[in-house]
Amino acid sequence: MPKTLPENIKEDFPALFTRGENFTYLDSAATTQKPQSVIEAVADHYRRGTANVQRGIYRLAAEATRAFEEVRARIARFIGAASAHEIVFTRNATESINLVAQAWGRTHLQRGDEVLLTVMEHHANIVPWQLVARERGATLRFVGLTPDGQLDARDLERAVNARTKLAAFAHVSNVLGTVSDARLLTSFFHERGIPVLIDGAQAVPHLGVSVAEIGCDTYVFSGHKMFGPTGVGILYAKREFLEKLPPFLGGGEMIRQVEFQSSSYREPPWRFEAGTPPIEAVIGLGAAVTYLERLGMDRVREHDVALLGQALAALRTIPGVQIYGPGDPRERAGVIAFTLQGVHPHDIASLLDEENICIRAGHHCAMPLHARLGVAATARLSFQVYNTSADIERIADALRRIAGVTQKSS
Amino acid sequence: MDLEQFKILLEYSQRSPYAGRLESPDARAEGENPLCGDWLEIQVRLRQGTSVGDGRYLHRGCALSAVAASILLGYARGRNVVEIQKLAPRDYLDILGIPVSSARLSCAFLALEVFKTLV
Repeated sequence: MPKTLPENIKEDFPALFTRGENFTYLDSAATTQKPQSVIEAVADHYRRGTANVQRGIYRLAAEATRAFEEVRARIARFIGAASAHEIVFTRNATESINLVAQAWGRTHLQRGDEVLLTVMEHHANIVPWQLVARERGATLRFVGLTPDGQLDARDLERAVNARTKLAAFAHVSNVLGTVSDARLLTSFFHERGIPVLIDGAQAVPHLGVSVAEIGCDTYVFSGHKMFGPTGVGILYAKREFLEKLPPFLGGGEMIRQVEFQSSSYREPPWRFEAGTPPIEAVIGLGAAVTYLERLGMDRVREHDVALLGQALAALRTIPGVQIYGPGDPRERAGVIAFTLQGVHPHDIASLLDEENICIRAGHHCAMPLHARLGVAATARLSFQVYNTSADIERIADALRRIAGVTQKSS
Repeated sequence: MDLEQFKILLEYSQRSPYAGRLESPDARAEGENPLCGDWLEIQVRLRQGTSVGDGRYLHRGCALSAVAASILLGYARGRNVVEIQKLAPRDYLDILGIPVSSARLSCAFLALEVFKTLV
């Protein structure tokens, strides 16, 4: 297999050609544009006939169910899970975390217990734990960071203790881009009998992920951040972990038998899939996984590292820029958050929008992290396979001109 | 907002006669947009207890929210406090007279929101 992505890969993404010649999308960490194959898969599903899954007797329903379950199996293979039954479809990574926080938390957390998180977590990996901790009288503890944006190992040793009942952390930070050593951290926690949840929302779209190698109990990610449709997310969890959990949402599909006053529930993963699932979103996600498999995650990663390297170097030449997170592009994935002296991130984003460049500005659903960094907001660039060297030159040039405005008037 | 407009906003906010502190204000209020970190404090001196004699603002955050505070305080001089607090969104935007995209409305409106809580 050739070492780099196909040169014309951008042509796989129709949206990148519909908004003017200089349209530059640098916000893939928020959501990704979709390749033609995903668009076709969803449209095709509608064109050929949709049917509710796992219910109908007729052939169309059986086909829909088979296609749906086939995606479950494909995702299991994609992330190295032992079985398709360890893949639960949710609405997104946030819902996946809520599922574990509620279903596991309500039955495993007692008063005085602790859940260990990190200061660089996305709100999705903080708020669900706050909700269940309050209910159960448990507390949250947060591992701090080194100046380079890595988890502070000494702080980790200090924070973990006999009351720690679960640890949850981001595989890749959506602000700092820090790639944590998921396998090392998981064994650290497992040695202490602590189960692990990993937020892989920013990892799966950029790195090859093997949950078998990592060994984590649970792992979550979102379809729309990896070229799939919105509306579908994944919770991977080891069979033993899932089997111990009571239902999260109740309704149709997750039951075995329903009487007026009580019901019995199906086995995992279906126990956790109440109501009609996002059928076409799952079909679209299947096509997205196929697309990534064809590219090869090694090549996706190399492309990402190259862009990160180029962008970091370019940003460092702009006066007044401060970059947050690891300096080495190999220690990051997908994103670069920065500030520019004298220009608020919102103003940066508005100015770039004027040049048809899309970046994100604000706290990126990581307010505690920004408080720890001592800034109210940052600007964030994020990359995917459809971004090029030219994109980086374009934004670096624009940022240089913006920086120039404040230099002159100060 | 293009670079030229931004330059103007930036210079305007840097030269605003309303930036700073008032000595012994009659009323003050502060507020922020937690979503983006804009923070504003407004201080006013009152005439006959009901109209704005002079005003100042302290600010941290984007240029748009600073400029809006400056324009609002310029407009408020000599006017009845309650009348300003009752400004309809449409009228407020007309007073600002600068293009505000829908994504930046909370930046532009911070000044009015803070002014409304003056005590």
